[in-house]
Amino acid sequence: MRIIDIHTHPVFFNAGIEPAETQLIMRRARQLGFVHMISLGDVLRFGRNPDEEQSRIINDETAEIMKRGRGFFIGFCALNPLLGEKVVRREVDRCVGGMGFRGIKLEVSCNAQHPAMAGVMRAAVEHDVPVLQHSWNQLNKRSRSYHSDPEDTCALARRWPNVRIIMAHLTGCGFRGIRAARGLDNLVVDTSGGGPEAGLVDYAVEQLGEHRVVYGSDLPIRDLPTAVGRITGAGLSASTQQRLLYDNAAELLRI
Amino acid sequence: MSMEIYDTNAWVGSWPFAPVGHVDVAALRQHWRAAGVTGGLVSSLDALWLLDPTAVNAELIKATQRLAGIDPLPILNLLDPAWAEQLAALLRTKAVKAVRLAPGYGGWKLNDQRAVAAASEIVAQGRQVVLTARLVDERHEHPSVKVKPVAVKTIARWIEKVPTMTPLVQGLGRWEIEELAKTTDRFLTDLSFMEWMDTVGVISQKVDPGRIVFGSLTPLHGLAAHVNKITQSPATMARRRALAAGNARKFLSA
Repeated sequence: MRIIDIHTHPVFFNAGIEPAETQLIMRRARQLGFVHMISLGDVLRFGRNPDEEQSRIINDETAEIMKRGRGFFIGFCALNPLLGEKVVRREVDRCVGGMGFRGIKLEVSCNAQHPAMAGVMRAAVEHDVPVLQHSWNQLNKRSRSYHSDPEDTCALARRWPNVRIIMAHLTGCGFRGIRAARGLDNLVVDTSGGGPEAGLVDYAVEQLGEHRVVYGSDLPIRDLPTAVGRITGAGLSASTQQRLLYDNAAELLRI
Repeated sequence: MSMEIYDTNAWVGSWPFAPVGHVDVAALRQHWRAAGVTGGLVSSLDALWLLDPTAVNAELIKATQRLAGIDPLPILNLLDPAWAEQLAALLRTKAVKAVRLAPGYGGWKLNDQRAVAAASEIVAQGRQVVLTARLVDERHEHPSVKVKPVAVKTIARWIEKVPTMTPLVQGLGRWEIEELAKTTDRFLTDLSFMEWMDTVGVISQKVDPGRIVFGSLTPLHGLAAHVNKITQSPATMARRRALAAGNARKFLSA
């Protein structure tokens, strides 16, 4: 079975920065059938609001990981939308235009409904790349001003129907997040994050369709065989499993 | 690869917040078999919230009779003023090898003196104690029903007060297990909420691998995912076998 992991952090709070550590991840992943991993960067290393220089450091590390991987790792450009459209555009041009990154990663600098998101989305349109937005249930938290609830990410997708959105963390989005995502053809949900809570993957496929659920792990916080087991143990047909584990990501990233 | 897998954290009954569940032991057994799990300890979700879960526990014990490899794990609720009667009834049943304490769900706290008294009595009667520290990621709970996980400091103090006990503590995350391991080596843990790249390798650096057991938290968690965590670990086959079943067998026969 071929697998693309759309949600990984090969460098995580500076761990994994050494070449031998990258090789270890690749060796382990290849043994398990992985052919690509999307490297989203060490996005919280400088806190939730990295400045321009810090954003460049994070993305330069991703570029280094891509070089080491020789095609195995695909980079997404980590951005802080609050730095303004000019800075955002400069970094997207540098990473996507100059270094072969294939998407944009947004963490928790601002909520997905913040006006500053417009600059990011215009850059995504211009470069024709998907945007992966960290999303997590905010009902039990008080951080929604900067942390996106699945309903916020769905609102973003609704406002920008010509941008491909990846709503991260199926477990964090939960059943409510899946319900919110119905009817949004430009949004897929990735299966990363949290423990392997039962019922979510099959419910997402039932409610959204098999083309709108894509495998992700959140490595190194998550264990690869466990993350894959969420898909293979969800009672889906072999062809649907393959769609979630490989085909949907390949189509989304035009591999 | 053939490997005996004994699940120490499995449940039957209904869960009020999501459409998951094995209604009975037969359905659980079928689910286990499909994932290669040979047996395990079973508790009832229906007993979790009850002041007096005696009837539900009795039903569970009856349902597991004559089912080889499936052991009932009844729940004791210390909020009940007559908890000692509940416990005495359980300990009179030979099939009960261990008793589960689930303070957050029963509505009592582990720092209550009754938690020490009950644990001491369970151990004195030659049985084991299983503590549920967490069943649900608290970030995902129903907005109206929030059950806090049991704090590691509270668990450590409780263990210290019952010197004859080495409990199985279930539902701790990576950092919580590591914190508990700094204060005591007198506990076993499952990996139901412990996950990292190479879970087994990472936690084995902090906890003696002889004290780690398999627990899936089925049906709240996906069984296949947790089975993969052990069977596809890069650990040696001997270590995987011990985690999959051997350590739990030793715990229950001690």
